[in-house]
Amino acid sequence: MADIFEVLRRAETGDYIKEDDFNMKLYKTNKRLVKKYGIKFDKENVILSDDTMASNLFDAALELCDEMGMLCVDTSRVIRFTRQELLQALEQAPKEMLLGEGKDARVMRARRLHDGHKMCVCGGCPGTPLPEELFLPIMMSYAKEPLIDIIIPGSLVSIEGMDVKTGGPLEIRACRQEMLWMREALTRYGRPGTHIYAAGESSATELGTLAICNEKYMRTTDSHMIPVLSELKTDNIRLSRVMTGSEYPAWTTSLMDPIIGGFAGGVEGAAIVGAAAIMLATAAYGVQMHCLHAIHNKYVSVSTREGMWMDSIIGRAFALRSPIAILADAWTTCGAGTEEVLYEAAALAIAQELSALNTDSLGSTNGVYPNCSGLEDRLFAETVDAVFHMGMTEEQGNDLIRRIFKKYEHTLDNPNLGKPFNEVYDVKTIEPTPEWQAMYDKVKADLTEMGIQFRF
Amino acid sequence: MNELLEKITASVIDTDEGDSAELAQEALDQGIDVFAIVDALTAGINELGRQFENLECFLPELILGGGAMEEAMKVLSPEIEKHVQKAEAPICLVVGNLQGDIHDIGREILCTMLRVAGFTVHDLGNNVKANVFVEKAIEYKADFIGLSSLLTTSLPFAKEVLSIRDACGKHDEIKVIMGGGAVTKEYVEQIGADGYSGTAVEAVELVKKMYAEGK
Repeated sequence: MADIFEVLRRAETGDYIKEDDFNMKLYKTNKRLVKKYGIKFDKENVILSDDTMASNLFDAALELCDEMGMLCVDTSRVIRFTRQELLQALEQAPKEMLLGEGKDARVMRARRLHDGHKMCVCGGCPGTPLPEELFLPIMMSYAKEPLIDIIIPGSLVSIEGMDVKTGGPLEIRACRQEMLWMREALTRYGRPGTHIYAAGESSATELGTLAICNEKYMRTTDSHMIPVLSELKTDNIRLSRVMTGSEYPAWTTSLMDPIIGGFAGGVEGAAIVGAAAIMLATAAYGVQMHCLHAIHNKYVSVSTREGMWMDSIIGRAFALRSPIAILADAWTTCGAGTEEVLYEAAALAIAQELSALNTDSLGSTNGVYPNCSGLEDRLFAETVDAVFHMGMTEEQGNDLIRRIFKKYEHTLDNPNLGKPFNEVYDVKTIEPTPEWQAMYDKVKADLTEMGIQFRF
Repeated sequence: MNELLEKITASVIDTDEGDSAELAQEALDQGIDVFAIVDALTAGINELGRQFENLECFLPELILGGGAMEEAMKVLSPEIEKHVQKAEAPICLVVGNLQGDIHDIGREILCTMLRVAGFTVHDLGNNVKANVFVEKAIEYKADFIGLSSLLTTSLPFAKEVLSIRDACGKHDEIKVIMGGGAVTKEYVEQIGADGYSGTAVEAVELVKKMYAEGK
């Protein structure tokens, strides 16, 4: 297996290629692989149950890795791995991890299909810009949800009233403050040892990660994130995060955002690229977990049919061929204070639980507005629990999702953005407003009527 | 429609269907009106735009189609010049991702759409400093600066672009428009930028409309 120094060496000495040529090569190669391996999107059944197609996706991704490698855009060199290196890296990645500390620690698994374990639920608002004055109460609304196993921060957009800018000194302060407030939120609800996933969300560069590598901020039982650039690319900032991770023993996770309709092609091509990115990130970054985030070219949301299907086939492919811990993002079109975001949460929960995935939480309004709260995550986690304990099949899940689509699909073209946190929660008691609570009760009753047997 | 013109349209939609430049030359040789050929090329680009919006074709096809049209236009340009007294100055834009943002796929889509709409586009790439946007806009005599960002933490640099533009006395000459995953209409209004677009297709219409209204 290649260590970090070997990866850096390959980033300096690999084949030279212009980025534009790499992009077009990817498109042409992927178009061929989609046909060769018979990958086909089914918009009526977003949870895949075809093991042959899932296994074919895994092989297609391996072939794509062989053909493309990973481009380092700073050196214009391709970092290549042999098939043996890729498979070995996947095999050696941990299958079970105890994340967090003491009584608050939870197990994150490389899931297999119907393996008798429920997913690990991450709560929070990944990628969502949060104002300083609301950061703590918003994160408290997630920390107080008992079904949330681990937690992810939103991004602080200002410090002392000044904007946090990429690469600027305030990224350091913002990430440190983010961690202090995250721990404060967790401590207030008696769970100080809870794992903080993707710590340092307030920074887009390596500055943030470096700033929090200290037990006072990011504990070694927390994790930080190292993205793969779309598609199948990296750079010195990402590799600096890898170097940081190699010398500070916190957990690490990658992030891949295959763009459906971009250089990967359609949803089938994006699925191959997503799977290939997981393989390459495992080998190049040495991460233990992966955050999978489908980006819909038109709607962005993961709650689209394409987004859910892409996640599902990737989850199934790895569960069958080489299990690895994958947390799927669950970005929704709508925001807190709307019925639609709750239906989106339920659909995503069913699809992810039945596709051997873990979740990286909801990003309401696709992470654009701070219109988010713990309540929609509560419904997500309760749905996951119900699906697991009912022993729901993929067929039953698809039937439910088809009915749930009717409740929110119309908002893809006209998003119902909802309201900011302070209009749907009492910021002192951290309780939902009666109106928001009533909406939740109504949707949950409707989902129960549809056949979801909630235990809580 | 003439069969050859149909082939020209098809060659833009799918570059495997033929070489647009060769077909354009063939059409000229057959004495087909040059503007009918341009219309056939434009029909192809418009169809690609529609397909892209509906996930029926993807970014690489859009780029290839734009390239095919560009090559064909090179063939047609001498003939067009004979018919046009003085070419109308095209709308000029400088476009880039704000400092710190390296997510260039959205910007590439935008640049492709703007170019196929006939605008002159200077793509400054990603991670562009605020002063560079303004300096390049002045150098190229641009009508618009297009700012793209997927990162919340890069957004504040948009304010610097506006501030430097105003400090250079170009407030009325150069308009600043914005788009990208992290950008909202409310934010654009809040900082006093001149226009917001949610998609690349909308951006083309926005630029046309603002230009027609004297920006």
